[in-house]
Amino acid sequence: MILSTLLSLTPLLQDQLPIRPGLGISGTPTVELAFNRLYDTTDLYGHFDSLVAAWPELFSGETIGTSVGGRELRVYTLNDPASGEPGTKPAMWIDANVHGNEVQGGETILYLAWYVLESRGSNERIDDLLANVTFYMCPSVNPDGRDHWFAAANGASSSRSGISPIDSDQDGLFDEDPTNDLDGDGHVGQMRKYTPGEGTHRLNPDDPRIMEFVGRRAPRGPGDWIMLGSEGIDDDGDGRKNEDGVGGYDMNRSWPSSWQPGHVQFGAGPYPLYWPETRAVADFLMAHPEVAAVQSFHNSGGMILRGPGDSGFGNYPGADLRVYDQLGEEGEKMLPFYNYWVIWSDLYTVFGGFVNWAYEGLGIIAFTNEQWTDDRISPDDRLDDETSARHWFSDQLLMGAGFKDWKPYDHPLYGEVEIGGFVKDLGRVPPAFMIEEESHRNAMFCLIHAEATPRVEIEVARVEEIGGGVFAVDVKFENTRAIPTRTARASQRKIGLPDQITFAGESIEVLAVGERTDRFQPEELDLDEGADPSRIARERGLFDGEPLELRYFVRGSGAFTVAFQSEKAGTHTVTGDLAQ
Amino acid sequence: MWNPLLSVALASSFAGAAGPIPQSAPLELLTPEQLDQKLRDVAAAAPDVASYIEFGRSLAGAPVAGISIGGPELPELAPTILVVGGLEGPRAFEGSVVLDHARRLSEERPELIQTTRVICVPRVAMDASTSRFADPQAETFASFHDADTDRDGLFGEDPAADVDGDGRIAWMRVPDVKGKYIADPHDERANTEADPKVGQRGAFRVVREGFDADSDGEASEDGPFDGRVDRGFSAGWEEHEAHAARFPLEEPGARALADYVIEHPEIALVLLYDSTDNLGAAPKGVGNSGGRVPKQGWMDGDAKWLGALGKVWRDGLEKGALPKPAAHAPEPGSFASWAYEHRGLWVVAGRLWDLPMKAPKAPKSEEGEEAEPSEDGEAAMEDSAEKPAMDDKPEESADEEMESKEEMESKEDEGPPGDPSDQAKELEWIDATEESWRFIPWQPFDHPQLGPVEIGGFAPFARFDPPAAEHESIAAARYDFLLGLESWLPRLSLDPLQVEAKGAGLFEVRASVVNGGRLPLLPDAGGRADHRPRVIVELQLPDGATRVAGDSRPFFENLSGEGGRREYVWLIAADSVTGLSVRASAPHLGSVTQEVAQ
Repeated sequence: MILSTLLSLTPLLQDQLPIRPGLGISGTPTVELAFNRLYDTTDLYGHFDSLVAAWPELFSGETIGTSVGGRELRVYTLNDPASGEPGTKPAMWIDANVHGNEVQGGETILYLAWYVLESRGSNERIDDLLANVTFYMCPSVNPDGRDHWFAAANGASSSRSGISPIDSDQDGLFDEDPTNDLDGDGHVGQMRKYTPGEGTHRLNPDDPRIMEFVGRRAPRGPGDWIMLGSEGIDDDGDGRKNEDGVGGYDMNRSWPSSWQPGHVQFGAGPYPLYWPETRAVADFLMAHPEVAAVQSFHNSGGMILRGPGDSGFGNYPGADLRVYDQLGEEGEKMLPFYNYWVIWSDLYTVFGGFVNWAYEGLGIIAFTNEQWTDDRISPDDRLDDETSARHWFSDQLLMGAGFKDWKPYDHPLYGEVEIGGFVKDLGRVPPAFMIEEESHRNAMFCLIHAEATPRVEIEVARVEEIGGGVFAVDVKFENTRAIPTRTARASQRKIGLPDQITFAGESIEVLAVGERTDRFQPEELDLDEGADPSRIARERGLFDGEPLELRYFVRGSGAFTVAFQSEKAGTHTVTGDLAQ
Repeated sequence: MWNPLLSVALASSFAGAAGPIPQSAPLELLTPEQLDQKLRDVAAAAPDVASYIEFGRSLAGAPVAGISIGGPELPELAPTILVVGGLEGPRAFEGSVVLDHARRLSEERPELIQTTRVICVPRVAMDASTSRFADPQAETFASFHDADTDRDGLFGEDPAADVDGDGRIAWMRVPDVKGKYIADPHDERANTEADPKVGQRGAFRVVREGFDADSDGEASEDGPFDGRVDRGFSAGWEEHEAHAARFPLEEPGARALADYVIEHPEIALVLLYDSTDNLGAAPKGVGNSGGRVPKQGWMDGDAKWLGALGKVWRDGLEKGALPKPAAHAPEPGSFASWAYEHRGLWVVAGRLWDLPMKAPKAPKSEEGEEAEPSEDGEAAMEDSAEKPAMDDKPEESADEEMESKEEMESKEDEGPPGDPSDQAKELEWIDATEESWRFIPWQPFDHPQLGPVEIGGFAPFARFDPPAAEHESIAAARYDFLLGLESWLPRLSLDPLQVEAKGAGLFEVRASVVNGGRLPLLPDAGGRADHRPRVIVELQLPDGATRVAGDSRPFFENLSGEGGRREYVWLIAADSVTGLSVRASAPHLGSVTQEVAQ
């Protein structure tokens, strides 16, 4: 009786409950999406489109370019038109999957869009955020690579590239010797061969699936096995295998700042923005100077990365580092086992990386998150060896589905070998049951970043007649968020337009303006030397905790308007009256 | 975003307005439309050897085009020389020389085009070149990307303008106690920086002729374009400099040329006529490595070969016609830098002409009397602000320098103290020749915003256009240089195969691949590049034969110049070696085959 009553009440309760994404007791969401699996490009775009259909006034999609393989490069815009069209307020750009095999950021962005849209109206912070920030979301910068990873036999690390054919081995042929799915299981495994007494590896005594390197010489060697690399044959008969696979370049080495050619780092391409995908993203960002925050998703390793990408750049300006540190350190708390790191010093050198360009070239606070880390398999100290831990995880939590056991294969060049290894969706992407958590935590990190975009408040602090029909008008400008209206980098390199402040009144003439430098002595002013004091351009941005106080000297009468116009913070105005 | 200033500027630049071109030029300086038609005409006149290529379009829509010229028997993949001019807007003459090369190659059909394809690209900076033909006429390098140069939040609001209405955009001397210039005491027409160490104080600033359209006290400080084609390539690209634009190869015409180079690995050498110069004086090498990020500039091994080519280049002209040697390293963001450092191509580059900095010297008659003036380019070289090191100078230059020094010393007794400025030296040449169009005398002008100023100075293109009388000789000398590259280009050849019967049906086959040209197959920069083309050697066996030893398809990347060779040995099992051959091929070298002698 009790059970039947509960069953009959369940749907009713779900329908009546408020939608509370992120919390356990919630009503049925407007759009049900499964965040326990990964999607190819078509399905991913399809889910975004379902959000567009449900919230057409807030969410829209556009095609910003076409990939090498002819796939759409889509950007979805999340914006509340009630508070202004895109371009009138700060924006955040979020992308994922510039590397073909690094897919899960697309689902993270989908989750973020879903979370914000479902939360609207029930979560005040989300409402405030949506009223003040526009989101531009590019779920896959490399849709060709994404679909290649899903559809073709691959490993966890193959392949980063797009699919534009490259003659990687310089033999005049293009992509003619890729890895091969010899055993037809949909994954590219490893090949090993039994060579008793002449090998470099042995089987782990506790788990013969694991190959241990022992070398050819005593005391550890020789082993009885040799490893023959990734599954494949010598397709082009040049004596080598797998040396010219699909694509063979790296679109995250193709951005203009600190770019270096291929002989300095692999995959950079002939010049920055060479590939249409990168060019389309760059064109979009350059056309949207309101973007004040950038987040790019990769995998893996559990990192929140910022530039510089190479040591030659030097350090970022201190004022900007304070913003980076504030956000990055908060991210470390939000994302278990993630480290907030500098790319070149903590990871490796990257020339021409996307987030490097976003900051160094465009002056935008930008992070790359390397999603997923094997540390998340289990915090248990007894799982200290990475390979053993991964096997344990596959065995105990995936019922063995994460590993293809070694099986014999008659190889045309090597003779009898064995093929086996981890499946491609284990190691760099989360398992199904952890995708939602990974997505949620990373999406929340994006929202914290978005909340830090600049917000300017203006106050007419004082109007005082100082004699001769001249008034002194003190106006205070304050940015209440962590990200400045112009980063120090933008100011130093004169990136974008300076902030502009105008003072206008129908019957008012502006005689002079200066920045107050002493709160107690109004005559201490740093006078603006521009030709027109009613319109000043300010290269230095407005930083949190560093209000700008201007003193205008005007004559005339009546009402006036002061406007602060910023590419990244939008336009803010305040009105006053000389008679006040 | 629509920019009305940009539209107006482009529209006017394509209006075809005839500017005051002050000379009748044997090698015509052509509008983009005229140039494109000429290219088509040259190609149409010799369809069996020449074809028109459109690489792409400039931002304003002008075709960036060239002509490919190759003998009828030339295979599809043949070693190719790319000849490029007009990467800088004002350098129309260079483009005319390249066009003249194309015409002569297709008409005269020299040996060069029987072995080598030559692709002539007269002009790349199409849009910047149009200001020459506009009204008013202006000397323009920038043709795209509008930066807020004066950081006032406005774009292109204060362009240069023809204030005095003479049809040319020249220069203004604006009186200013904070200005750094004074009139050169040696020649009041010349501007020179005041030297406080000798008690001089600046009297004016020098700005492009224009109005103060935005009322900020400055004239012509924020024009509609800032990006330069010749500073937009990715090697050494100067991010955040206005002339570099927002990203490398933003200008679509330049990008189209770059893409063509990338897609055509058969290009073995680039001959370039612009401000880059590695021929006027032996270039200095920058070493061979420099760590992970190599230094910009010519690598040591390549500098040696460029020095040798430079001697040919210099020997091809009368001393008087040699322009001043330029800086040793290619300019950051230049096509030369990109083609050499990033694409790993041989790049030989020279300037065709510079405004001399000295009056033509009268040659001595047999009796020792001075005769009619003639030019002395070597002396001009020595006056250059960017002199080559002594070691790099042509042999005669040391004596010339002594002579010049004596002249200077004697002048010091007669005129104001110190050396004349470079401008004064240039004026000396102008005064001594019939080239007065090159300088517009300063005229007082009551500027509507700036008050009394002077307008005048060096006329547009004064420093770029050689005298009409020199056009043909310069073009002819450079054409000869181009033809001479035939013997310099790396050439792939195979020595006759050596076959030795080892018994029991085994044969040893030896093949030697030889570089028959003077230059190495690749410059050192090419060996460094990641996309270097490889020479692939293929053993082609007769029916029934099998390869017992030796690689099936070995490859290598480079051979030294002047006879470098590499030998391959195979062991084959065969009844007979009849029909056995070896083929060597590379995209930039073509292919050669040797068969076993019957």
